[in-house]
Amino acid sequence: MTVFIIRRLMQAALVVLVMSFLVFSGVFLVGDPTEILVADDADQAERAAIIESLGLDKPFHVQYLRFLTKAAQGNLGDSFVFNEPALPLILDRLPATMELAVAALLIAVVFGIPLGVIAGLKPEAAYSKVIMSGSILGFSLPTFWVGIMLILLFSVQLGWLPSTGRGDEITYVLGFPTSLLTLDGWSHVLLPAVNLALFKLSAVTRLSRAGTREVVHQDYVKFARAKGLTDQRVIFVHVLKNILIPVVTVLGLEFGGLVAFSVVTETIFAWPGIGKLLIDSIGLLDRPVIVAYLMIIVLLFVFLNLLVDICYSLLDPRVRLQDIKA
Amino acid sequence: MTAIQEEAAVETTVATKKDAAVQSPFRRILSDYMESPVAVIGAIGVILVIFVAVIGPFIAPTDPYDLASVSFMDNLLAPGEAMANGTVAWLGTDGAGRDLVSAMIYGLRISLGVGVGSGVIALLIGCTLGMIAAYFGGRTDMIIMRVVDMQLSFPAILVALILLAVVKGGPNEPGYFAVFKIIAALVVVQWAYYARTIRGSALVERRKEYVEAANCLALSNTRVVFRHLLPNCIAPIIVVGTMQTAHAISLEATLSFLGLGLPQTEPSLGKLISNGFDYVMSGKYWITVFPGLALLMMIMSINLVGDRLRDVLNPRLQK
Amino acid sequence: MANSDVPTLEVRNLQTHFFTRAGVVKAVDDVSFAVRPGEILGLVGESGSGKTVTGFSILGLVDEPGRVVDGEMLYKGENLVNASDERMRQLRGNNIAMIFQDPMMTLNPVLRIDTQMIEAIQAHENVSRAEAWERSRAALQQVGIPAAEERLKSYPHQFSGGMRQRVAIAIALLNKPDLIVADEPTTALDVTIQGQILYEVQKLCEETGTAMIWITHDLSVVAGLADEICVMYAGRVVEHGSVDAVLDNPTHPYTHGLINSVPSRNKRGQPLSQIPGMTPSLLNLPPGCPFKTRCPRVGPDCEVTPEITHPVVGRDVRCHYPVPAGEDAARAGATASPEVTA
Repeated sequence: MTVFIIRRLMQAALVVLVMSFLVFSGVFLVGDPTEILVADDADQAERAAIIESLGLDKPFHVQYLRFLTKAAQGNLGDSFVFNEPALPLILDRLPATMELAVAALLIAVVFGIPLGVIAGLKPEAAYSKVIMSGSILGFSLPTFWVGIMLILLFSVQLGWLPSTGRGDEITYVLGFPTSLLTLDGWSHVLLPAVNLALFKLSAVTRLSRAGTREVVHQDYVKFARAKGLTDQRVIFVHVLKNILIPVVTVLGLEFGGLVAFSVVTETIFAWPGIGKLLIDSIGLLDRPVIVAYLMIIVLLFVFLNLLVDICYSLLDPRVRLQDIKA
Repeated sequence: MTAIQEEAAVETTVATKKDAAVQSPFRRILSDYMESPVAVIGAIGVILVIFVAVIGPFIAPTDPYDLASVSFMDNLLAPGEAMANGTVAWLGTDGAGRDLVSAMIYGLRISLGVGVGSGVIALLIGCTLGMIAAYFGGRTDMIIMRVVDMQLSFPAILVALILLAVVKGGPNEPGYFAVFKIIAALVVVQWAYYARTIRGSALVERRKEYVEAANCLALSNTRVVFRHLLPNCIAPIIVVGTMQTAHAISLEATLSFLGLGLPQTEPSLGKLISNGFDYVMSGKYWITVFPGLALLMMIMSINLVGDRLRDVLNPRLQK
Repeated sequence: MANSDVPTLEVRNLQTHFFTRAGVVKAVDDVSFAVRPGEILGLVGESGSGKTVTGFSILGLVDEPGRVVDGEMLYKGENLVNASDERMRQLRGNNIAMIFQDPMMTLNPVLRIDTQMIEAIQAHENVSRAEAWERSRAALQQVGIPAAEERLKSYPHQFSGGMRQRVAIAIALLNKPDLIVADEPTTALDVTIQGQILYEVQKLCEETGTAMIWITHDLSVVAGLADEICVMYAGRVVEHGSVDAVLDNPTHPYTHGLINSVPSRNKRGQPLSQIPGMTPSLLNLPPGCPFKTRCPRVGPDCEVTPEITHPVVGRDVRCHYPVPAGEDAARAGATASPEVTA
């Protein structure tokens, strides 16, 4: 277990290093931040002074090495726009994004697994076909458009729910800000979370259905019924525990996708998370913030993968951590 | 298997999969497909979308890009109101005074074109690399698949977003250049799916006896790949292709909405919706609702077709 | 052997059909037999002959699109065909247990053995976990699993195939059922393991008076284990009688062929016998005797479905031209009937 985790962490470090190089060189090669940073009426001397102060006059490898050294110290550079360190800028907004992603994931799991199991138990029934057609609708709906429609319906037409921001009632739990503890917070998080969840909800539904269809035909389910177990026990213990394995695996990996897709949802609902920060930074070519965002995302993905593998070994007794291909 | 049977197997590669069916495979697939009414609706939707996209300029009431015919006086007309020149804007007009029906027809053309275009290029690149990986194996396979795995471990939207952010041009960049960039970004995020799919099915096929037989007959590599391996990998490629095209259209719309896709001069459906977002708060719903519905219909139709094809073409599910 | 007047299970004219899109599959078509306490009935046939579906029908475990359409299954006089779902659930595992063919597939891979055993007890009796655990341990010991306490904490993948089948048998025995339906439980196992398990099963039936239906395609297993034998072909029982009588003196041409197909030591050097052709598809089976296309004794009457006759005392046979008693079983398969050679 410990050996496994250490090995995985070392591999993770390597991945992060490679990604840092790719990201940095990508951002370095194209796009000139001076165009935006330097005022149009600035003369050559002013321009050169700014370039020098940002270290943009140095050759690539010098800039990259300097970036790496600082990164190791937790300094991913200063935002050109905000004039403050990029890393805290992102870490400040990370909890908001996490809150949104977790809420969306919960919605996807709480509704997706039952729907999928129901559709999988009786695949020929009319309601199963409705569920499956609904899931195709779910992953056909463009997230950004659904977001706008939600605002149009619930905020503009009905006036039930707010359309922007996180609300003011932020409480702190263990030092992390969250809006999930107040009614006002929930009213703010509901629409964006539903919006973000729709796509994953379809995925979870389809995955659960496929898993259920496969598992119910296994001999062990028939044997469980032959033991005289109630249908509830067969479904909730024998079937569910088996389909949870692929669902948890995929969900863990897709959580990263939720964080990535929150870019869209946060833009529409003006949710103060890292996704909105990224879009704003891209618009302003705020290079250090983009790089810092990507580094955080890479770290997050590596961490999630590790977490999924550990969950996997807990759920499936046939898998031991040592056996998982690292 | 006797030698004669083996030869027969080599000759009729496709037929080996089918059981002694009297029907031609195409007829069987078609009749299976038709059994799902929802899938038939999807197919009709796809045909309709293609039809509208092809003959678009001939049926659009106005040319939304002919600046002479667009009047700012017509802006934000509600559905059903008449424009200054007498034409009725059945679905209203947008913020620039363009007839929404016409704008949507042109937008549909662009969305579909970008989606299908990027899909085809990604398919060609992905299939070539996937086939190379499967056929040569070893180090080649390892390198290609490492790249594929790494690519697929990151969400498509993020990869496309960063790529487009990196190559972001100034406001004076020509429109066709933006189109080229978004197609390139969509190709980059899609090719890996094709490569993985075709490598997977090619590896399965490669182990089968008929390929061994073809190799024993000293047929050339190219011949084995194109005449024997490729035809047997068509089914999964068709399925992945439809789903990926739908995904690409959706992704392009999303990127355009975020301001990183197509420019104002080449407005896809996504860009139209994005423009309409500014008017949502004032209750001018039609600029976002109708292009969105068109986009949804297009994506949903393609997905319905792909979903049904997956069931119909999957030999494992055939009885 | 304990014999009583009321059979543990009596099956009368059972019909289980599958309603597929391609048509109706008569998987079990008019099957009748009975088992008494302590008795072992061998249900023999090729794959697709309907023997497994018969087993599932008894437990009420036939999956969609299959359905028991006609007949009676009397468990101690209670007709299971009319029983409610809840009543069937109460009977399953408690009064009627089943052992499956593939031990690698019958235990749930993600649940511990103790979970899977305790739930089987608690489904039928309101007992404490500790008591159920103790009974599980005893059951494991009974089927010859060493270190039962340790083994209860294991997962199925930590057992070998033979061990898993013992666990499955232990689970079947947990609630001391009156009837066990065993569906080829030893087919997937090594010969020596098979021997051990057969021995234990036989001992068990004798000791506890449990009735057993042993489904198999292996005549040699039935020869050594069963008291009575039902030979099934295409969903029907074609021959039914006591094991020794049927195996020594088969009267149905199919039983004949089946016995001759077993390679045995004394026929070494001679070409092995076989039944030509394949089991017919049960989908839209043509009228008449389903064996007629493969039968060496086929005649004009075979266009009509044969009824059950009793050419020998205590024997049910479905054939218009049964093999006369006393004809050498070993040669009958090779010498075709006059109609065919002529």
